[in-house]
Amino acid sequence: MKKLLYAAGCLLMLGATSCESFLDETPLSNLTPENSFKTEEDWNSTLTAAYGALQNITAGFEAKYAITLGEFGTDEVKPIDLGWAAYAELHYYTFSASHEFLDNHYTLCYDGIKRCNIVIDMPADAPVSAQGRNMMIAQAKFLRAVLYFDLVRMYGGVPLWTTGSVDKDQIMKPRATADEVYERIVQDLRDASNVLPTSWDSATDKGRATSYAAYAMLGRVLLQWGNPGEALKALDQVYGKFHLYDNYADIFSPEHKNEEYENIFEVQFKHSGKWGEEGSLQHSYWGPRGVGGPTAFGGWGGFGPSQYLYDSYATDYDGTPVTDRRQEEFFWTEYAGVAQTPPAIKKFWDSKYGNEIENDDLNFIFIRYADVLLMRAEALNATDDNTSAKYDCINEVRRRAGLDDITAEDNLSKEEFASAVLLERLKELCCEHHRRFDLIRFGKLAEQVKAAYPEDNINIRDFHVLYPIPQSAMDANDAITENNPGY
Amino acid sequence: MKKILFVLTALLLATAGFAQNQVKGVVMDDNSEPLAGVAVIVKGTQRGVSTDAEGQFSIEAKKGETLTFTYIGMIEKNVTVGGGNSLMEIRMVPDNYNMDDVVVIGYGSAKKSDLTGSVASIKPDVLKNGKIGMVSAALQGSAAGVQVTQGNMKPGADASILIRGAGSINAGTEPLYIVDGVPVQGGLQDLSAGDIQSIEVLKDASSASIYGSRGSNGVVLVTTKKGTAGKTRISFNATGGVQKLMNKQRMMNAQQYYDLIESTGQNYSWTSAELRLLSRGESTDWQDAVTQDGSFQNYNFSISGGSEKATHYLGLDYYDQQGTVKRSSFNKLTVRYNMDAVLNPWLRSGVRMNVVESKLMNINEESDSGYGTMHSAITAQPTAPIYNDDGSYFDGFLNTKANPVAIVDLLDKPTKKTRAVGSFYLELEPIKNLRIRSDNGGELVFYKVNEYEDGRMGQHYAEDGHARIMSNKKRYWQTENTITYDFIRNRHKLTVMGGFSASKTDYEEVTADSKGLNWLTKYNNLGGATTHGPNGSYASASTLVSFYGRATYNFDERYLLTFTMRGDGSSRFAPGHRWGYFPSVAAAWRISEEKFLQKASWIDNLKLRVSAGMLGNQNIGDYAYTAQISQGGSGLDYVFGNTLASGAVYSSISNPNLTWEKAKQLDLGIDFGFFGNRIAGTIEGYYKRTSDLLWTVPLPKESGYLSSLTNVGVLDNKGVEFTLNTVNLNMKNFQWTTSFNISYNRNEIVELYDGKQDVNKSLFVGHSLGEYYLLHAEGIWQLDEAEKAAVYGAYPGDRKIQDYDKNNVINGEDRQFAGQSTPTWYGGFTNTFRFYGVDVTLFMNFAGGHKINNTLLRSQNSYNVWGNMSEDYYYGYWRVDRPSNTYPAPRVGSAYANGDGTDANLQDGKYLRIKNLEIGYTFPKRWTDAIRANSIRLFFSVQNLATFTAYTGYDVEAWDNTNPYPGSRSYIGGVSINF
Repeated sequence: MKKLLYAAGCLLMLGATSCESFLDETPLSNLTPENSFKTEEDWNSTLTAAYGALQNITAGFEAKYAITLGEFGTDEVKPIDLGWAAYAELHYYTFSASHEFLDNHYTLCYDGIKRCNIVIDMPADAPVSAQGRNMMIAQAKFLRAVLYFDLVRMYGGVPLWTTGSVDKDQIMKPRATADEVYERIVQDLRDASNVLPTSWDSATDKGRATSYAAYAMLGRVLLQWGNPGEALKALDQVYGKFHLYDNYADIFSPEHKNEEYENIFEVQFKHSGKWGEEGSLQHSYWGPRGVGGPTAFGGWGGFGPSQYLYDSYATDYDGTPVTDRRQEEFFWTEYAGVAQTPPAIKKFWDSKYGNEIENDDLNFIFIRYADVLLMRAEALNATDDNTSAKYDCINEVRRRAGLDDITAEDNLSKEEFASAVLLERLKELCCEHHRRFDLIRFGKLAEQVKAAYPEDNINIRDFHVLYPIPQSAMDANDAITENNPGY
Repeated sequence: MKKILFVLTALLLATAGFAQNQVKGVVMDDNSEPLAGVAVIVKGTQRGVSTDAEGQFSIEAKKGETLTFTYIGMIEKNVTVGGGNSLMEIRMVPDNYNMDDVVVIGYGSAKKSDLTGSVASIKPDVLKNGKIGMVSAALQGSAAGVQVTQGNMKPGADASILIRGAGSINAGTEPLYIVDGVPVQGGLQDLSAGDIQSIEVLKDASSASIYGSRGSNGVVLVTTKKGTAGKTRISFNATGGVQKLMNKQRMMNAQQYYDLIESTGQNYSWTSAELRLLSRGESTDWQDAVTQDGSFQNYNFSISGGSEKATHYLGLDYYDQQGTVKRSSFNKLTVRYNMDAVLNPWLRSGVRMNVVESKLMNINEESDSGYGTMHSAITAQPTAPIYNDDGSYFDGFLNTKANPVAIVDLLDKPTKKTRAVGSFYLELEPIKNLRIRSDNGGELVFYKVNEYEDGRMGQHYAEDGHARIMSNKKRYWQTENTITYDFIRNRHKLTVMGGFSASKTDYEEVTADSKGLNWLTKYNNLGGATTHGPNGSYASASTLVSFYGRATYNFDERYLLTFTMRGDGSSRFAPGHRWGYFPSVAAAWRISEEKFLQKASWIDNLKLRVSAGMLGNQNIGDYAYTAQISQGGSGLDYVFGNTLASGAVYSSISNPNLTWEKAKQLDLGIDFGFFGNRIAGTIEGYYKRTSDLLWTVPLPKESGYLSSLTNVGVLDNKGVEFTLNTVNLNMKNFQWTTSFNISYNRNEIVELYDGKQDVNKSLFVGHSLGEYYLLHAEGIWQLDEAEKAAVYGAYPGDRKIQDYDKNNVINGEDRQFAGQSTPTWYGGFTNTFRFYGVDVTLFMNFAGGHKINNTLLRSQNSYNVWGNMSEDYYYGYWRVDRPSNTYPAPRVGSAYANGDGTDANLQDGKYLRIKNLEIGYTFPKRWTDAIRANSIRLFFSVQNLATFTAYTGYDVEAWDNTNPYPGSRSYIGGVSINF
């Protein structure tokens, strides 16, 4: 009533200006630029949100787009659930630029880049200590590199956004070339690796990017860009700094989170109140299928894998039959009395929370040492290194699997060794979001897809090494005039 | 019955005794309410009388003479005196175009003859055409330029109203609802039809601009009943009926489903339960399993009356509906109390009060409509049994979250709403013709959604139960203060009104989420749960301050002029851009009052109106002008060292220039009434141009922001409206009246921003909002076209897409315009017949000019291993030995098979619906007199008798085609008694 009287009174004065204060309303549930970014903690929250963006392209609620775009349409995964047109189109290479997953993935990547840019663009007068500032920016650069790498390897050259503010007059940015994007990524990772610690001391900082993560990532990026020499230098920084678990399950187990033993960088997940929060979807999407119980204990997403993948463990690089430990360690051929055909992936297994849909406790293992070893073997081979170093690297991985060493005496040509590395990568790193890009790097995508599914009549063509820029992104940005060839 | 017979006999005997020249009778309106003061004249003589308070008259007349009945507001009636001596029962037909009717306009009222703007008056009588559902739905087809769509058929669902086309892209198209002076969002759903005195729709700039800031989508003014001095009136209505589901979708049975899946060589592992069902030759009809015959009942009771000093009206209404989806229901209790008092000769006061309590049960509309009940039921595989052998629900569906029967059985989701709207006024008349009025009121809305998902619902639901509560409260208050002066001298009449108002809206919301609950206490004891969260809360507020004025000038009842001005300040805009000013002017010429037309006695009314003005729109979220930083939530949070860390990031960019959306409107209309208003109507044309559109302009995805609310662009709506009311026959005991209206609206984007011709390929200059832009599906690739198909990576049996630019690639460049999603024409057609006490109403409504994207066809008419397909698909898909050009072959991975991105699932939306066929019988006066009632009417009605359309889904008006609540045909009976 008081307010009412006040309002009436202020109106009676018939002065619009005197009522102006009655019209002042500020947001009650959100912050505004006027009252935010006042403390170091405020800036840290934005960095946290940038880390949060990693969940979207690895194993979070929204990550099925990134996973399916990276895994489907390769020899290691044939989606079980082909009833969903969006899945089937990826497997059969009948998708178009309007495929909704492309739009979702692209949007999520740039949403994350925005978060990174805001931190990297921190104004000089921000209330943050010099040390805190350096650390935050270095982490944000690492994250930005990861996000741009996801874009460039899927879509080729994309527009480069590197500032945190939005100038409405320059909002339409054309595509940069793929090389320009790679240059930016490499620079960001170099900057990050120079600043970040090798390990974070505080238990509550575990999960932040380290210099090892930046170097390993740099190796991955440079290899993909076709620069094995530089990649080797980066990988050398990590070589010998980590180990391989004896027990394969330890790599993925929630019990061994952030041990920095084999795993170099893990995207953090945590079982939460319900799906869509901080839990991961890995178990429920990859797990065994057709089993009873409330969630059938997995397999719900119908992610695969393919029979081809399982069968590939039976023969070694040279065609000889072998017994590979990983065939048993990585797969369920039967679960709870239900035969799994093709076998289901065992890697992503959360015995405690796997029973909940899209809400398990598994970290996503972003880079692990076995990957670094195989990348190093690949880089050494590509740069014609004539020491035994490349054999050491690949053999370290093979020995754990119970396979014989490859030595100089085997007389593998450069190409043969490369093929052995590619096969080893399939067997070691299957379903960890590498295969599509490995095949593209080795120029074998179409060949392998046809080899894995001879019956499926898949119409894959050379241009399919790149996805189209999503139609929605083309439509929203006038400066993008051409899509990738073939689309 | 015995009593009635007795009364009947008594009456017959009584009248038989007076075989003289005295003609006696009673005059009533069309609702059999007696009319007092009707002039009864023997044509060609000086003999005349008036009816008394009971509507009765007695006059000397010979057989063969004609009696003429005249009454203001009624069409003149002539009746020839017959030979009998029975009591005459005369029913007069109301004149919907009576120029002396008083019509409510913003902040006042006016005689219809004085109107200069475009105002559609809707009589409460038309509300009977929609007996089931909300008042909003009952307005369908009732007025030109007022497009009503019942987009959701669930019990208690509100219909949407669009006046003269969509004039905004993002700031809402809903009109402003003013109920007894208080703006009420979604204002018609929480009213009882029985309480409504009149509904006026303000369509043009002149009439709506007094509500300037919020008037650009038109204004719907509702006036509720008040008491009249004199006899206490009591009215009681009871209505009830059953609802039968319409348009059940014809799906494949189990054997057909099995055959189809097996024929494709698909590696589908049938569960043993499915195989057993198949072996028994059974099939599950999931639609039948989750639906039932609905039923509904509605009781309405009112008492009104009063003295010269004070009048009152009390209305009670109870509405209860059991839906056609099992365990879905809606009930609503409405209490209204209106009071008006004359405190002394210069001071009056009054109260308006409406309290509604409603409860909606168990409507499963998930944000992903593919998980909704009906979509689940339509697509669930027919091979699946409802129950396992042990009596538990079968679970093992690929298409859906749960067994559809488990959802309807176990979901417990009440949505409760309590809404109180009230106001009080004081009106002073210190000197003659000067009125000062202060009207203060507001509303309180409490809204609560409880939800309990039982673990037995299936694999997607938490094992130990999951409860959610969403509770919000909205509080609105306003003060409206006006001063009005009437100046009358000779042939000049001038009325001036000025006023100011202020209002504020507060909104608060709380959400809570818990798992692991006791299955009996459910959402009523979240504290007993084992897992809590996420919980959330939200609050917002907005204010509006306004000044307004209106001057109307009338010269000699021939020339009319209205000038209106409103200034509004809104908290939703940035400082410096808060104030908007909305002027309008209108003029009318009553040609029929001119001397040169006085001789044309058949012209009762001819009026030319023209108006122009500007309206505003601020219907956007609060605080949209400022950049905001969102904090917390799944998308922003992260985990460090297994500890949750809260993230924050800019969720929007600022727009310090954000201001009002403005709509300029020009209106030209002719009102006519001929032959004693037996032919009356309106022809009207309008041109509305909205500029500075409040629009969430899409930003390039690379910016990391999806859109920014900006004032840009120009949108046009042009249209014509035609209304015709005719009294075709007006004989002593038989009347036939017709009312017809049709509207045409053309919606066109004139300008976007930065010279763009299109935005995101969804808005195009030169096209309407919601125009489809899709690939064109040309049928199916046939065997002899294999070579050509291969160019596009397709095989015979796949859907053939037109390569519009003929570059051998199907991509975005091949999209074409494929029609618009909103109707361009719509209207209603009513015929009413009366024969003695029997009345028959036939009401039809129609719309067309648009296409419907029937998303249900995605899964119905293409092969998918997720669930069932239509029977039509089973008999019509492409096979080598059965080439079809309609449905693609059942090949997994076949591009465009489900029609996404193409026009394959578009269906012509035009329809004609027989919405109400009603037969009523009003008991003769002399019978009802016996129980001291004024009138008793029995009726029977069929609603949605038939719909003629090419659309194949549940209901042609449904917005959600994926998970539609089924439409139904209703058989209804009822009685209404007035004392």
